[in-house]
Amino acid sequence: MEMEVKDLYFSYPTGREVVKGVSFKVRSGEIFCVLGPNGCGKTTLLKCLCGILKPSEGSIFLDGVEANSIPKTERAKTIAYLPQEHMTLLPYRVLDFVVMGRAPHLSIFSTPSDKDYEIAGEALKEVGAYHLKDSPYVELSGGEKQLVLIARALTQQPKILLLDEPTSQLDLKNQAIVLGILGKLTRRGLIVVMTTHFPTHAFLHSSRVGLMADGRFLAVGEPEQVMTEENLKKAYDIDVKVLTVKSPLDDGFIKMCIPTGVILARRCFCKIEHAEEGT
Amino acid sequence: MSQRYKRILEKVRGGKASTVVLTLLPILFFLVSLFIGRYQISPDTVILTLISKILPMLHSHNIPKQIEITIIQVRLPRAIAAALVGATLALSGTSFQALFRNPLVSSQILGVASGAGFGAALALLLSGDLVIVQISAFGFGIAAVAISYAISKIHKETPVLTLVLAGMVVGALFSSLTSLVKYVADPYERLPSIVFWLMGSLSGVSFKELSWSFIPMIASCIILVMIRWRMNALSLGEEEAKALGVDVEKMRMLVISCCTLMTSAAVAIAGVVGWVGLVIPHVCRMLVGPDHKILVPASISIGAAYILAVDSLARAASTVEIPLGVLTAIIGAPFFFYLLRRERLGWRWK
Repeated sequence: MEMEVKDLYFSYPTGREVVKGVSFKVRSGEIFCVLGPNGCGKTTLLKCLCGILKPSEGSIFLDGVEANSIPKTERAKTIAYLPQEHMTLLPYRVLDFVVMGRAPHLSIFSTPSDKDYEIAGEALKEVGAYHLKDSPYVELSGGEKQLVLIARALTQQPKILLLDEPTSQLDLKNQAIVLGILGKLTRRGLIVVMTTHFPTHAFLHSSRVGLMADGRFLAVGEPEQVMTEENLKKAYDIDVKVLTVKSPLDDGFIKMCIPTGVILARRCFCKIEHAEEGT
Repeated sequence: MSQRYKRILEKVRGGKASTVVLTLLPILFFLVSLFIGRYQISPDTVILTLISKILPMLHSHNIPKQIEITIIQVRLPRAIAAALVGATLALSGTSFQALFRNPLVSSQILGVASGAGFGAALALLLSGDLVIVQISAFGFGIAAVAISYAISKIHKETPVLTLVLAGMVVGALFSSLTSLVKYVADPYERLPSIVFWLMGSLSGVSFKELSWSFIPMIASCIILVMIRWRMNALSLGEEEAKALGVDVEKMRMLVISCCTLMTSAAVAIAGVVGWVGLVIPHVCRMLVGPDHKILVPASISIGAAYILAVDSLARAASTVEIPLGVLTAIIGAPFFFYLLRRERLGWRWK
């Protein structure tokens, strides 16, 4: 499977152009991270990719086939989308909620069969949330909700998974769990495209990164080449230091990002502490 | 919600027990409504009369003509009408609450009842012929929703909020037009019939009226039952439904068309019967949960049972018949308050 995006543009009916010529390519087994400041068009880009919004110009090719020529249900069998904020008012049971992912596979007049519930159950097991299957979805914690949403996306049996900031509202443990699951899924051959606010996550988990600012990609490619101090400064408009840390577990190195301002503030704070100790 | 209550619900939901109860409940109230009436007839006579009509070879003699007419010509069409009206109003309420993702929406949200009310009032003012009144009510009910939908189309897509606001505007417009008709109507002859019609009643329903109105009601019910599972996806909101491959625009049109057709037909034969389309969906959700796979059949069953029961009460409670619409509001409003108080609505507000 390969998804290729060529010169994608999108403007809202009010005329505001949000995505201004984005091109990239992802293949099976890759995690593609879209990184960029708030309001740069990441979410809009994902919505264009999954077909919620219709791009005003440009094309998306799924294995060489123009995505907009594919019927909606067929497209939903290939691409699953996880929204950033999920607001369900009705307290659906988790299993009933997850089985909704079967919608593109079932005709409009049918209801899910035992087999569909089985697929939903398997998806819940895959993300380790099977024990939640009978709880009401609205009563779950943020981390559990994210897992259940991933399970619903897997129930669609897609080849491409689009996630809008899947880790932004999760604690450390749940971030690790979600990113671990995404890693496992890509090893199985899925394409994962996700937006994130954590540059470090892009270093740690993605195979390729698109650094976005004001509707355009400043750079696309391997994390090491894209996420340089220079590029990050251009995107976020603050000075950033990229640190390389030796892995405590093996001979490899881990890169991470810290804004220069934070390091400076921390130094002042330490100095005061030292001064206080001295007196 | 108390733990005990939760445990009881878990047992009821999805179990065979709920299927049995939901099937038997409307049948029970259907029979009850045949037994009750001004003219005293014992239940066994009623059953014998029914048997003699359905299977004449089994039992054909010694039933007085008077009793046969009362049961077959008066009570039977009325009971069928009550069941149909209850089922359609409750079902359209359930569908609209999913479509608009709002627990305060009822079957009247797009102005069906106001439009139909105006249509009936106008026909009562001008002619008074019952068939014309019904056709006019049916037509204006559909027209009101069509206008709401057309207004909401001023934006290229149809966001749900515009649609609801358009429905409110159209509803208010037709309500004031109805007031105008009442104002000009002759206060001794025409006005009472208009007022009485608007209160909603099933008295005097005959097979003749049912013969045309049951077609849109049954057809719409069947379609909505068939697409019921898609309502789950629809209730997640437009974007998520789209991401699940649902053609939201088409689905919305289909649900609105079905609901409008059957509600207009229901209002045409029963008048304005409020609160059913708001309260019954909540009751059903409380009983069987929010999954539309079960919720839709449950709404049909509980809605039918409810109106059958209330109509029996309307006939039996006093010597003068109480208008059905008045009684559903008197029962419905406090009950809704009870649901609110117990936080049993089953919706999560953010």
